[in-house]
Amino acid sequence: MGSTLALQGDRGEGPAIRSRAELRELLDRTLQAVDSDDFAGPLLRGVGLSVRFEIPNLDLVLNVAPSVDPDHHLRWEFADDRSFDPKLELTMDSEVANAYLQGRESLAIGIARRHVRFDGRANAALLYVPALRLVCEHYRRIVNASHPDRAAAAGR
Amino acid sequence: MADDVISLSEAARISGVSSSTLKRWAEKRVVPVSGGRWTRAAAAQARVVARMRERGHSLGELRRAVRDGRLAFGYVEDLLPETHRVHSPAEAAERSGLEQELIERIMSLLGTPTALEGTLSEGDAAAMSLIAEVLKAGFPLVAVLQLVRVYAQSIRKISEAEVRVFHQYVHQPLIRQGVDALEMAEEMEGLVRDLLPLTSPLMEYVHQRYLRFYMEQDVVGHMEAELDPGTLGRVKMAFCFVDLTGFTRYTEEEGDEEALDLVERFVETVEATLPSKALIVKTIGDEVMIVSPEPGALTEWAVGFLGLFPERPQPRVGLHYGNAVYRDGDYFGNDVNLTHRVVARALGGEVMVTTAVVDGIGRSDYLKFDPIGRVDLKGLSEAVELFVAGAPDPQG
Repeated sequence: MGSTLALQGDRGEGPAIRSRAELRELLDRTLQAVDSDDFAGPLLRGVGLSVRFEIPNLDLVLNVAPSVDPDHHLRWEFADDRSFDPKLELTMDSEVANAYLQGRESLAIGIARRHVRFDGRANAALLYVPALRLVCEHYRRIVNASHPDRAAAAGR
Repeated sequence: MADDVISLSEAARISGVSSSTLKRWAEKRVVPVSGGRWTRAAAAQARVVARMRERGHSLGELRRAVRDGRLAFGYVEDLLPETHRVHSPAEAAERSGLEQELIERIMSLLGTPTALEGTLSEGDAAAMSLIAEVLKAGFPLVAVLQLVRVYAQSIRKISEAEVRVFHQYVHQPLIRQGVDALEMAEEMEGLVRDLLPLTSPLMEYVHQRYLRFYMEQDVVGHMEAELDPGTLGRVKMAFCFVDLTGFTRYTEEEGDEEALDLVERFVETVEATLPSKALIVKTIGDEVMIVSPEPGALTEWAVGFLGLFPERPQPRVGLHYGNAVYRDGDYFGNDVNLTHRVVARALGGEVMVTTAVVDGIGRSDYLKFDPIGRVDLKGLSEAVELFVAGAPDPQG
């Protein structure tokens, strides 16, 4: 991935997420919300969500997988754990991630513009790309509620 | 109340079945009646049993169905307005001021079996009066008829989906849990009673959202029509067809259910990745038709979307930018047909576009177009110049 590039049209002016700690906190809260969501949690566990997000400009890696703990649907860790073998990997800078996770940026357009790198098999894309919208819904809600300036950074 | 005891004659009135037949069904436990006490839930089930008997089901089959709670939906019907047929088309014509032939045509457009019975309910008659008001306000008849057809087709799908989803997520789980038939009927009635008042405001909300969206689109359409008077009455759009190559073989190899799963996931993946102004118009099997006022965004989407499919099943995409007639929620015309021909020429993993798309996009930092020359397309008298769209080499 190159440096963070502004995507035409879809993202407006405003402060972007610059800090690793800030994005990590947002993602952690998002996944906690997803995990305790009676609809999204079982659904994501059911599809066997196995995804690695890499945010190179903040040197942040997030691995998400179904939980082995019956009291949880998902488990996640912020570590470049190479023993974790994800079925799908998405690499994007924090500004693109913030827009994508708020549903403001099309993942496919991000790939076409080389702002997003996708690694995975077609079957994983068919399972996980629609399912990840549930994660995006929670992320958007959390950003709108607690970081409205970051919501502005994602445009419309 | 769900557990109110009613008289046998009242049960007969509700179910449309004679008292003697009801007593016989109760004895044979085709209708769940406890201690000879009839309730509205039991009467509603008797109405369903009567309907099933007319369809040729035996009392034995029905007894098993009632025991399992499979007919427990009957009581839910009571929450919907009664549909006693009380008006003839002539009476509705007099009341609304519409011609009787027009009323019959509208009722036929509504397309449900009850619409063809020759009489109108109070609700039907009231709807005719509303339509008369719309016409009096100056909305053209041909447009009214078109909208009635669209409303009927769309709302039929919504109603069907509501019933099927309720069945799948509420009724079937109760059956699996072995809940008593009457208890199940009452539980479902309670849930539907809570849900019904919420559906209309929700639909109204979605309707308003789409109205706002399409009004904005219409403003853009008018501006473009003024710039190009030849397109008056038509809309300018980028048209896109995307399908899965090798889907027929996949179905043969993997079976129908696996293939259906694949199609559902494929359409969901399209939906999940489309840019904001692009919309799915329809799906036909594994084929999805998409429109967007922005040929550049739609082409970028197509190129990126194919990046999600490095191996089988690989989609292919055909794109064209042109004009079409919008009718009944769909787009028609030569440009739509041309787009369909274009996707048929694409290979798996290819985005094939016409000159109109290339010209409509102009210069792009994110797209390149490799010409493949003029290609004969089925049904078209002249060869068409086509290009394969892709992302430019990062080194430029």
